[in-house]
Amino acid sequence: MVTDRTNSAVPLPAAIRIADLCFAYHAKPALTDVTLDLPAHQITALIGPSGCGKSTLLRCFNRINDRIPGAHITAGSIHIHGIDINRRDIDLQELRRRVGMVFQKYNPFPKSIYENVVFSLRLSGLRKRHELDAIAETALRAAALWDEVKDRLHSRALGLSGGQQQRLCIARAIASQPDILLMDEPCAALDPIATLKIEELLHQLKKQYTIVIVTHNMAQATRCADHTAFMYLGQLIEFAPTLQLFNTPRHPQTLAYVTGSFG
Amino acid sequence: MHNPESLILKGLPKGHAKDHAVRLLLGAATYLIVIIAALLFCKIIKDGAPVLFTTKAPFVDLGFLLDKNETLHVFDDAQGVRHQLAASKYSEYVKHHDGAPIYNEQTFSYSGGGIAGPIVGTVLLTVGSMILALFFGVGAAIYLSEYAKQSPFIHAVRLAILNLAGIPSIVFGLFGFSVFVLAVPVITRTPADRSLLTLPLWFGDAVVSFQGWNSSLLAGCATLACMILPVIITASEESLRAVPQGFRDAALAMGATRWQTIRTCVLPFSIPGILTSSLLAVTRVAGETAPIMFTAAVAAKDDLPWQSLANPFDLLSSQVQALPYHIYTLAARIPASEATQRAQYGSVFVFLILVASLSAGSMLLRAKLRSKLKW
Amino acid sequence: MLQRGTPSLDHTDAGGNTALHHACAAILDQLPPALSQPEAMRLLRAARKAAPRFLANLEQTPQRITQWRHDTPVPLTDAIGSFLTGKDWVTGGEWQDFYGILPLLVGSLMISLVALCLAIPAGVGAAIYINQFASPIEQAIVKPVIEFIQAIPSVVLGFIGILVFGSVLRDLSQLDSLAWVPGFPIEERLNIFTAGCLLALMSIPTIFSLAEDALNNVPSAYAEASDALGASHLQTSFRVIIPAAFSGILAAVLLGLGRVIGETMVVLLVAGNRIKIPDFSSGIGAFLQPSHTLTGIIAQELGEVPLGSVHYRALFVVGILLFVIVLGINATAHKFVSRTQH
Repeated sequence: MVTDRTNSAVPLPAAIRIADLCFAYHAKPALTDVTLDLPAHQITALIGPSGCGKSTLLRCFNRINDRIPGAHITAGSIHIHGIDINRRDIDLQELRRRVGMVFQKYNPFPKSIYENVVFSLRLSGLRKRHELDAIAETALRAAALWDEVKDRLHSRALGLSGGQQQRLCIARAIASQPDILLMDEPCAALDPIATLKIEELLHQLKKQYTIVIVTHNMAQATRCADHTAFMYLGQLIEFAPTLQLFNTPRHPQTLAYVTGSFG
Repeated sequence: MHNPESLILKGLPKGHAKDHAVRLLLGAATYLIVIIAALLFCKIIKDGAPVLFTTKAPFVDLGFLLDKNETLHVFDDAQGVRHQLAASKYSEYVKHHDGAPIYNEQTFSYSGGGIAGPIVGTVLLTVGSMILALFFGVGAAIYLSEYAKQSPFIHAVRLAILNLAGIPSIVFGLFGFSVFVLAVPVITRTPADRSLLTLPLWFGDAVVSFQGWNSSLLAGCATLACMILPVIITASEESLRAVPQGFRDAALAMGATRWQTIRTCVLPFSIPGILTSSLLAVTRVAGETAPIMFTAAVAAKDDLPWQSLANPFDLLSSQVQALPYHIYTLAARIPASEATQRAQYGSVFVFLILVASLSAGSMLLRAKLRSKLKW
Repeated sequence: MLQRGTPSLDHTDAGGNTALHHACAAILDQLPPALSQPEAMRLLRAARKAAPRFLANLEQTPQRITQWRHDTPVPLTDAIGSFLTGKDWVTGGEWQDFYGILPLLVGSLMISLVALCLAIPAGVGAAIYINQFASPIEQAIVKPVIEFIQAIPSVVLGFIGILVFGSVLRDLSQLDSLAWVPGFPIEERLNIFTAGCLLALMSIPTIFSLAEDALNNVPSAYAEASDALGASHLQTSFRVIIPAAFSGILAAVLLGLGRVIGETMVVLLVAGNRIKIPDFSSGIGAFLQPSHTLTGIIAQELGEVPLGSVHYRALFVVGILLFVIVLGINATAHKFVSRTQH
């Protein structure tokens, strides 16, 4: 039985507003008419079978899709805190600082642990050593990694275990205090114990950040997420509080998916 | 989120000027290289093309390409007309103008006539060394990639091949000199005094004498083959490895022997790759001077290699002229002057055309193969 | 006249000097202050300069002469030491040949230094530009052009150097506006700097291709992570990608160095062929002096040397030294390359 984690029926302020979004790679459509309001300071999970567009949607929020040639929005808009992020004069670097991302395959830089965490701070020009140290410690504590690495901050980041590297990536992403944290299947490459640690982390992080997490693992969605959106073939099928989506889904496709008829 | 307006750019993005400056600097470095290379080519083309290309048909000065190399005589005749004549034409002139006075005579070695000798010599050296290198190189590559089992010895062999590829060409010249010119065995009736070892043969009065082949076409080809062998082996191994294992498995499953498998299912598909790297190797072999300086090349030779031979095998034991060595001689021993410009720049131009077309050919072949061979 | 062993001559006085010493000093004092012939004057000056050392060693000299045997084998360490550190390479000399490679080694190293100082910024800079900043059209045009330079035979570059570049540089150095450069105007048109410039052009394609390969092999995940953190293109390139490719770039530079040290024809034609350690008293101007190299000496002298002579063997040892040096450089470079591939 899924336990209810939303605490009131009051409509929550939306961090991300998506309106009739259509997205395509070259001529091939990947997202069709997606309309969604993602609530602030909540964890929202995007679930669905492979190829349904959930990662594509996630990657639209910080416009990291811009790196892929041929990927473009064909219709609709995305507003983050009232600002249309696809307008011409958007400060892309500032957007990405405010909307952090953690990837499926952990990718810390081949530098020391410390340098990984303070990377985005150095980008902003912060140089004072004691300031950097303080923020690094805060970020590593928030990512539940401080106790394990505090004695070897300047050793190679690639020498850590998989779970530790992913938590380092989380620390790196939150070091510059983003408002929104995007997580693209963060536990896909990790063992169950590391996965559990990260899921516990998410509950702590939710207090400060809005979190959107793409996951293949329905059980993970039920454990972590306040709201869940189910997508299929590029369309948003249903969006509801997690309890409601899993126990009493309104759409027959949602029912079929959450009961495991297809995947 | 506090002040979402900060997401909107006011003016240019931060660091824009620095971005531009770095791009400019690095772009300048890149295009500087391109410009310098272009200047180099332009200089050679400007001074060399008039030597090779003429305004009348057949538009190429075949005399330059097909005449033998001779000494240049530059002189003024009684009317003050300046003549530049190759040695053979000079002796004709003298005979013809019997007794006419000749003023301000200068001679420049190697600067008259044409470059037929060097061209022919280079072709012979290249063909000979590529035959040797391909034979031994592809064979070694087949052994290393298809037959050899991993062992410390094979590991050492691979390491040696890898390291040999970077050795300076003059060291190969030294090696070729001491081995092929002075030490390899030769069957002869009259062993030289400096022979290292003589072993009597059981027939006739000939002996096997370890005295080397002297400076000769064969010694030069062998030296160049040694130099290019690591490149050929590495490239051939790569081409053989690129053939999918599935091909071999299918043949073996049908009962073919190892050699049949290689001959029918592996070699034919790796030949394009081997060919491309061979073309690159040919470019290198044609352009090297140091290995042939002491093993085959001679600056002046009266006849083309196949003329005035006692028997055909003497071709292998005769010295040859070579285009790179010819250019070196012209650059090092002949001063720059108006009279020698034809020989100097003309030779370099022809050489550059040769090397450029081989190199361009290999690049095109490589690009074509890359798009064709996708398993 | 003065005979060894004569008691009066071996007698040591209060100052510790023997009578022999006194007698020699007295003779040296009688040397005239100047002589009319310039050659005689030169010899006189040389004698005056050597006198103190001669006197200082005088006591031991007779003993050393009697003890010296012409057939005592020279220890191997001495032979190798004097080869590697000897300052003179004199062959066909009047009374003794010297085979010290220091002038050749210094020449090779100085030329390589000039070549690398020019080739590294150009080659690595071009690699960074082409890999990180250039448009696909630029990449498609510039990459083949630079790789094409590699096909130019070294003898052609040497030809250009000796016939064109050397004179151009010398004429340039005679401009009044450049008189402040140390070593300008250039006296010899064939010098270390000229050779270094041409060798730089030769090694740029090597450094460029390998550095560009190293940059290409950096996993794109790093660039993606850096972008997602809000880095600009410049910041991603210089803070993430180039440091990640660093060992590959270092390997490229080392292989370029190996190529430059092993090059023969360009240095043979353009470096000036003077076997002498350049005079460093003019500072940087030392680079505008002619010099010889390890590779050049082999090419120049092997043709004329009598087979089996000491000179002949010395050239082969120079070859072995070259082999070892280039082997060491290439092995180090390969170790760097393999370090990046894990």
